[in-house]
Amino acid sequence: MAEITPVLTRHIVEGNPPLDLAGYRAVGGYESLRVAVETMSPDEVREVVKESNLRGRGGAGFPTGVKWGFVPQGPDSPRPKYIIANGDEMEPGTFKDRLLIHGNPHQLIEAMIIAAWALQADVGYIFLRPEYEAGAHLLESAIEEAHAAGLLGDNVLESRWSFELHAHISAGRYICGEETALMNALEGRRPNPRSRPPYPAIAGLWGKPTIVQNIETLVCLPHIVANGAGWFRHLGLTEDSGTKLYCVSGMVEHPGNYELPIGVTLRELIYEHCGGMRDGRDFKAALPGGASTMFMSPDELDTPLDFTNLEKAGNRLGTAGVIVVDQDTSIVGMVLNLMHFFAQESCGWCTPCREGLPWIEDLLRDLVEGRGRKGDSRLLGHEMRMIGPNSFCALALGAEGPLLSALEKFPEEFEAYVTNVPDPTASIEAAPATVTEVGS
Amino acid sequence: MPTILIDGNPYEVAEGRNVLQAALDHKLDLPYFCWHPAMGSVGACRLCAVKHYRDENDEHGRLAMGCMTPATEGTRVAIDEPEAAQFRRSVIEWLMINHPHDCPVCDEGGECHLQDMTVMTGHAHRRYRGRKRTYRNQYLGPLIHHEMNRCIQCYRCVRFYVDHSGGHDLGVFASRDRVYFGRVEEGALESPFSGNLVEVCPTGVFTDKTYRRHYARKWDLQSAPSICGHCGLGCNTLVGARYGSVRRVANRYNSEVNGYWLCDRGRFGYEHVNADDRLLKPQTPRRDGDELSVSAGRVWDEAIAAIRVTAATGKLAAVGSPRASLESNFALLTLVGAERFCTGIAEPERRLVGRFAHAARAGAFHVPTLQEIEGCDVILVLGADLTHEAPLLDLALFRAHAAAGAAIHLVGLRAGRVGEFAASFESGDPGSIATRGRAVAAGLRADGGEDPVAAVLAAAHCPLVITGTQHRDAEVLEASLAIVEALRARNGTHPWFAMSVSEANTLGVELLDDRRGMSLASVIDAIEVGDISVLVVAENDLFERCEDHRRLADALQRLDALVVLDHMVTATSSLATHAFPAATIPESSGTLVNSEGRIQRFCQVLRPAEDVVPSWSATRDIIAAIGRAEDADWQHLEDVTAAIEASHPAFDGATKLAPALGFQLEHQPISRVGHRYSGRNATIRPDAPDEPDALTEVGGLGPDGALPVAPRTPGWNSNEAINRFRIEVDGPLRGDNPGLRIFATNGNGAHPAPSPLDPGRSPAAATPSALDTPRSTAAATPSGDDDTVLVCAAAEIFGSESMSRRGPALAELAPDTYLRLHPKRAERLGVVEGRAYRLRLIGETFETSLEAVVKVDDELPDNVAVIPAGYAETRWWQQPTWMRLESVEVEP
Repeated sequence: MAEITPVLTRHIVEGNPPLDLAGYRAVGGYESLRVAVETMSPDEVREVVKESNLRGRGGAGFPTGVKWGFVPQGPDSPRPKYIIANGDEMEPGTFKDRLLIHGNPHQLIEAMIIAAWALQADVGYIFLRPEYEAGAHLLESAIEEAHAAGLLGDNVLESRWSFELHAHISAGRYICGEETALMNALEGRRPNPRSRPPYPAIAGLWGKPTIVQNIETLVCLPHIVANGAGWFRHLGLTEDSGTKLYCVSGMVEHPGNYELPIGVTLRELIYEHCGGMRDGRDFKAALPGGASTMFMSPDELDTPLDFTNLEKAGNRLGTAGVIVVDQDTSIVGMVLNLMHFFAQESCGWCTPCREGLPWIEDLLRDLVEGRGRKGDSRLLGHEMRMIGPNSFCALALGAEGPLLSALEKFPEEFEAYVTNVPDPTASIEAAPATVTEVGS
Repeated sequence: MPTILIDGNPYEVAEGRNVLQAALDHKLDLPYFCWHPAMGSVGACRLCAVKHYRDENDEHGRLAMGCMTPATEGTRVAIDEPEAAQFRRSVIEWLMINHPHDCPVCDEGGECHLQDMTVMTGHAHRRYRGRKRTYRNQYLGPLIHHEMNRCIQCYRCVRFYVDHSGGHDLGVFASRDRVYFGRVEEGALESPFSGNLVEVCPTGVFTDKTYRRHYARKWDLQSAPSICGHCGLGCNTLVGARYGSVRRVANRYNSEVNGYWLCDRGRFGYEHVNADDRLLKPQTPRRDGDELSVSAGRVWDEAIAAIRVTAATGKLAAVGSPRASLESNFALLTLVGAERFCTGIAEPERRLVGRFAHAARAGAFHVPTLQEIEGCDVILVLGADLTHEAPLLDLALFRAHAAAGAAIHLVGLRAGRVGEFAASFESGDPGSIATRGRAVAAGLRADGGEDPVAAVLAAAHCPLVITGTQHRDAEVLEASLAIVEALRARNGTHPWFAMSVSEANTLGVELLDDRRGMSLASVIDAIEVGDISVLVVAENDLFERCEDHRRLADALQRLDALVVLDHMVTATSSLATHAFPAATIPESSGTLVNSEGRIQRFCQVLRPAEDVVPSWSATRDIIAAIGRAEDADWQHLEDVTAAIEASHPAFDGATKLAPALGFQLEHQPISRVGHRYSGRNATIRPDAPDEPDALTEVGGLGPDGALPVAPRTPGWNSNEAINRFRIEVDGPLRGDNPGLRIFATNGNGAHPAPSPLDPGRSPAAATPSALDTPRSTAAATPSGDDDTVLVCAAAEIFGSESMSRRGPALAELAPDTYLRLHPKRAERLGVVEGRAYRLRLIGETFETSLEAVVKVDDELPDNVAVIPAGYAETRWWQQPTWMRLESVEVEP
C-alpha cells in the first residue's frame, strides 16, 4: 500500500467547518503567498511551477507552466489580465473540487493570489456550478477576510500590485466547464465555445489575456511554492508529479475522495483504498477519469492511474473520477446513460454534436429497449468516429471515449441486445440505390 | 497573392481569405451553411469540411472546416476526397434527422440553400428511424412567418438580427437539439430589418408572410432588376411578379449601395401595387357618378382638347413628382417648357435639396456610399431620424459602430434606434439643433477644444456629417454645411457629407429642373390670378405638398382642367377633371437619382393592366396629340433618356445604365432565348411588347453592362448563387453596374480640396411666391400664449411614405396618429397620455384639425409638438410651424 501523504486535503476534516483566516494562518496558511510575493519575482514563481511538472487536473492534463508561458508579460502587454478558477465540475463521477472549495476556501484563495502574482493578473474569478452555492458563500466570506487582511485588493502585501477576486455562480451547464464557453458565460453571453485561435492566454475574457485553471490544479500551488518543485515531483509514484484526488464511485465498498500519490494502480485504488468491490462482486470495468474517458477492462487493473501511463494505454486520466462497474452492470445501459448526458449537455452550436449525439442515444435506447438491429453496433461506431473529432469543441470527443471503448472491449454485450429486426441498410458507407425506408 | 492547392490544382487567392472563400472565389462547389460573406465564419454547421494536409508530404491529412482554415501560401486541401465528402454527406444526414420533408408545401422550396446543399453533398438516404423533433412556432407580426421545425441551427438569423444589425428581440433559446430561434414571447419583430431574415435563413424557417398570401415558386416569377421607391437611398431590389401582380421584393446585391440588405419598408412596401385603390381606368372624378359611362377614349379626347387650347394661350403648367422617374418628369417638362414646370416638391424641402445638390455638384464635399459610411470613425447626425427617414443609413451607422467602433453623435428631435448605440444624444427643436450645429462648427474652427463633439470630430480619421430633410429647416442644413466647411478648412481634405432625402427621385427631379421652373406656391398663385387654367399633374398628390388645403382645393377647382396621371387614387386625383392611370415602378422602366447622387435604372417587371402606361409615354402621347409630335419623338424609354442626356449634362451616361435597346446575345434577341442570361430577358421587350413570350422567367447575370437579375446557376438555386457571379465573394458582381455617381467622388484627399462653400450662391426659384419666404422656426412664440407650440413632424418608417402605407402589412405596423408632447406641455393643455383627442391647430396663415392619440415624452423640448409626417391626417405639414393647440373634444 502506497504511503498516504495528504497535501491538498490535509486541513479538511469531515464534519468540521472549514478553517477561517486565523485558523488557516495558524497551520501555515498564506505563508506561501508571502514567500511568493515578498521573495520571488513573478518569473521565478512561473519557473518553479514549470519545473514542478504540474499538469492540469481539469481533464486535459496540459502542463500548467507551459500554459502560463503563453501569457504576454511586460509593461506593454495588454491589461487587465485575468485568472479564472474553473469550479464548474460537472464531469460525471467527479466531486473533488467540491471538497477543496467547501473544505478549505482559504487554500483556494491563496492559490489564486499566487497564480495571479505569477501571471501579474489584475482580476480573478472563481467560477462555480450553481449547486456549489454553499461553497460560494464560504468563498465570499473568505474573500472578505482576505481583503480585510490586505491579502487581496489594492497593494497586496505591500507589493504595489493589486488583485481583485470574485466568486461567480454560473447558471449551470456542462459546457461551461469548457474554458472558452466559461468565458462567454462570465461575459453574460450564451455559453457556446469559442474558436481557437486566438487562445485565451492571448485573448480570453473580454478579449484580454486569461488563464483558466481547474481548482485542484490551483490548490497545488501554495504547496509547490512552500516545498519546491523537486518535492512536488517526488510526490508522484510515476514520472507524473504531485498527489491526486481520486473520486471513486460505483460498485466499491467505500466510494469517496482519496488523495493519493499520483500513479497508484487501479487495483490498489479499488482493493487497498476503497475496500474492494462491493459485496465481493467481480470487477468488470472502470472509467478512470469521468465520463469522457475510456473503459478499462480487468486486464488493465495494474495500470497506474496517471497522465503518462494512461495516455500510453490510449486512455486519459481526465479528472480522475473513477467509476467502477461490476459484473452485473450492463455496459450498454451505462453507455446509454452517459450518451444521454452528453446529448443533453450539447450546447447546440455545431451540427455533429447537436444532431449526432441524440441519434447515438436513440440507437442505444433502441438496443436497450429491444428495437436494436443487426449492424447497429457498426453504425454507432461509424457515426461516433465522424462526430467526435469533427465537432467544434471537445464535448463530443469526450463522448467518444466510453462508447468506442465499450464497442471495442464489450462487443458481445451490444450484440446480445440485437433482436431479429432486419437491417434495411445494405451498407452504411454508401447509400443504397433505392430508398426503401425513410423513417417517420 | 498566396497560391493554395485545392485537389492538387494551384489557385491564386487574395490575401487574408479562408479556404471556403477561396474555393467559392474560384467557383468550386464547396457546400456551406453558416458562413455568410457579410457575417463571416463561425464554424458552427461543419458543412464546409475539407481534407487539410500539413504539407506536401502529408498523405493522410485531417478534416478541417474550410471557413476556419486560412488560405495562406502553400495551404493544401482537398474537397474531392472520400472522407471529406462522406463527412459533408453526414452533416446533411444529421440535419435531416429533424428537418421535415415538407419541401412541396414550403415557401423556400426551389430556392432553398438546404435543398441545394443536400443535392450537392449527395445525401439521399436517412438512417435515423426515430421521431422528428417538433417546435411550437411563434407569431412574429405581419411580415415574417415562423416555421421552426425546419430549422437547421446555422445561427445566421440571430447573427444578422442581433450582431449585424443591432436588433434585440430575436434570440437563441434552449440547448442541445432543441435550440430555438425566436422571441421571448410572441409579437411583431421590432427591427426594421427583420425581412432580411427571409434571405439569410438557408431554409424555410423565416419566410415572407406577404409572399405567402399570393405565393409563386421562384421559377414561376417574372423577375426584373428594380429600384426601391420608398425612400431616397435607391436600394436595389429584385421584384418578382406573376399573373399581373407583384408577389414579392427581394434584395438585389449592389456592392456600393445596399449590399445584401433591404429595410422592411423597401421589402414589404410593394403591396400598394396590388392594392384595391389603384387608379386603373381613365376617369372624370369631378363628374359625380357617371365615371363608368364615360369611355376611356372620350376622357382622353376631352383632356387633349383642353390641353391643346390652353397650350396655345400659354396658360398650361405641369407639376412633376419626386416619386416619378426622370423620364416622366422630363416628358412633362417638355410638354409645358422649363418655365412652366414645377418639380412638385414643396418649397421648404426644395430649398434644402437644391442647396445640397448645388453644393455637391460643385464638389464642396464628398457624398459617401453606404459602404463607405461603414468605414467612418466619427459620425455626427444633425437633425435626422435615419431609422425612419432612410433605414439602411441607420444600418450603415450600426455597422460603423459595431464593426469599427465608430462614435456616433446625435443632435435631433428624438434619438430613435440610432440612439441605442450612439455615443451621445442631444435633444432639441429644429432651431436649437441648428444652434448646436453652429457651435460645433465654431468649436472646430477654434481647434475643437471646448465643444466635446467638435473635439471628437477634430480628432477623427474619417469624420462624416449627416443631416436630413425631415425638419425642412434650412438653418439645420446651413449649420451642417458650416461644420463640413470647418472640417475642410481644418484638415485640408475633402470632407464627407450626406443628406437623406424623402423620395426616390428627389435629387433627380431637382437636378432636372435646374431651378428654372415654378415653385408649387407660385403655381397656386398663378391659378388664383387666372394665369394657369389647365394643370397636368403626374404621380403627385399636391395635398401632401401644401399646408393650406382649403386654398389648394379652391385653386384646383378653379382650373378649367386638372389632368392627373397617377397610379393611386389621391386627394388630387379626386379633384381632377381627367385622371389617367400611370404605371408603378415595377410596371415600368425608368431612371432615378438617389440621395447619394447615383443614377440607377429600374426595369419593368410586369405588364400593367390595360390602359395603364408609364407617365412619360402618356405625356408623350399628349404632346403628339396637341400637334407637337416632333418635340417628343420617343419610341422607347431609351429615347427619352437620351433626350435628357442631351439637354442635361448632369445626367451624362444615363443611357449606359442598361443594355442598349438592340442588345443581343449570340445573335438572338435576348427576350426570346431560354438561356437565362441578362437583365434584359426578364423585362418586357420594348420592341415587341405583345409577343406572348416577351416576358420570361428569372434571368441570370449579363455580360458587362447588363443589369443583374435573380442569380441562379445549376446547383445553386437560392440567393447564395450570388457568389457565382462575382470575381471574388463579397466583392462586386462580374460586369457590375452599380449605377452612375453624378457628384464628384473620392474623399481620400486625392481630389484637391475644393473652394469653400459660398452661401450666397444658393439659387432661388425663378418664379417665387410670397409663401416661399422661409418661415422662421426661431421666431419667439407669441408672448404669454402657453398653448402655442412649434409643430414638427417625425418620419415613421411605416406610415409616412405615401405608397408603402397603402399595403395592409405595413399599414398594420404604422403607429396610430399621435401628438407627442413634453409632459409639462400636456398638463398645461389638459391632455392625458394614451387618450385620443380631436385637436384644432391654428397657425398664422392657416388652420387645421387633427384626431390624434396624445403621447408624452420627457425627452422632447417643452416648446414642441410632434406629429407623424405624411399621414392622411398630417400630410398638410410642410415645415415647423408655430401653432396654437386647442383640444376640442375628448373621445371616450
